[in-house]
Amino acid sequence: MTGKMIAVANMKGGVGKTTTVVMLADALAASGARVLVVDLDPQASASICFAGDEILAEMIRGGRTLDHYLGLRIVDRDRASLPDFVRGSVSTTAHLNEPLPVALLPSGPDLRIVEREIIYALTTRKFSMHAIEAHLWRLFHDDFVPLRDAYDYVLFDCAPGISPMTEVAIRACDLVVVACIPDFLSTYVLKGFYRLIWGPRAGGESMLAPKSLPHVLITRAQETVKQHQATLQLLEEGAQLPNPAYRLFRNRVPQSAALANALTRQYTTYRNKYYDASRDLIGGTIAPLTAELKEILHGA
Amino acid sequence: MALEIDGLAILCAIAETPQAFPAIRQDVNKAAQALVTKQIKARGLTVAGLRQVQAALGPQPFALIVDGMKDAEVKTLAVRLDRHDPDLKAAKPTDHRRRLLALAAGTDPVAKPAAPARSAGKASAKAAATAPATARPRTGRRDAAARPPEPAGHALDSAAMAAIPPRRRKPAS
Repeated sequence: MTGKMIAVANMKGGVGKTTTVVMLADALAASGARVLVVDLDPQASASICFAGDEILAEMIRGGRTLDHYLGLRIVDRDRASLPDFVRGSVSTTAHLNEPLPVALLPSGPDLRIVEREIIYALTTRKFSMHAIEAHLWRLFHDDFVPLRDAYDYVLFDCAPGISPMTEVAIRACDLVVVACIPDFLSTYVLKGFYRLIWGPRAGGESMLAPKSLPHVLITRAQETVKQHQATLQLLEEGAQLPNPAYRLFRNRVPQSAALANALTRQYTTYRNKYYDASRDLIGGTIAPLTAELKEILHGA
Repeated sequence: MALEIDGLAILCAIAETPQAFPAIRQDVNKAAQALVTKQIKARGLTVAGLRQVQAALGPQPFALIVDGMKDAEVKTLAVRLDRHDPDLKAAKPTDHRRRLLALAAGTDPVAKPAAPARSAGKASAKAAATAPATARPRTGRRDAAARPPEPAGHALDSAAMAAIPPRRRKPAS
């Protein structure tokens, strides 16, 4: 069985994309799956969370990052092999005394520059915008899709805004998880994001439509905030329409200090990492959400 | 006529009919963790007592409980139950957990070292005490490479953000 590719995305920043990626990667790995996290964000947040500052610095200096790979492969037309850029067993978190099997394809701050460099290099070679998109699409299918053979789940931490590689990943993945805070601004940006990727005029001849509707995951939900409750109700009603524009995860991620702490590398066990004194975060949120994710990907 | 609740009977009843207690479903895990942790941390707990707890719960639930304990709690317990293991005090949290699970699963604690022979004399004992500890490689915190130190000092210091990638083979045209 080949692995599943999941993009965690939203055009808006600060909605919990990286938190969701880290949480899902840890939970899937704790359930015994082999997980690869691909960081598509030049902020390198997921890379820092898993590799830590020193190891990420070593990988950047050694040219073992996604941006370096893309530069070699597209700008320099080098035959670089993507698996060589993956760092295996990068997690310092253990579950039942075994390190979580999480691998990382990190990014560095230069990803922002390399993406511009790619556009410049390809337009110099007389590529049209459609041809550039088609080139990235082919590269993704030739190099990234085969990673599914080595991992049960490949999680893409997408950049806010829509970079060219982020758009390709969103269109090519088996599932797009859209992390969204249930407030006015987050849901407003969600509308634009939907139109851009799934709407009637989205994409072009060079790229295909995404494989499925976006799956909205409510993050940082607060039961005591009226605006959150009202927005949630609207989102639920929208998901129940005859031809919905999106699906809504049944399980929601609450506002939790434990999730912010989980982005650090100070905890040695999975259970301590996600310990929340005020609620059963693992049993009440993370485990049911992971089960729901698997149900969506593999069928009930 | 009963004057006090029978906690064990009530816990059994909750376990047998969880559908009658939906509002406390999330509290049950925390309560279970707290109860077992308290038992494991009890002052008088022996290795035999630890094994009884592990046998009652099963190896995996027991390991999950240990995973849920704080690193310092696990260290205190492992060092107390295996007091003659010379490496435990300075070992990594993962090693403490591994040792505690091994003790619970039947591994015997390290035996008390034999007292030094009288003929060795005070002078040689003193020399041994002051000699550098080279006999056994220690797995102390200084060697605990699994947890690289996070950057200290200025809040904006970062090796990764300051790292410069190598030049690619062909510079961009």
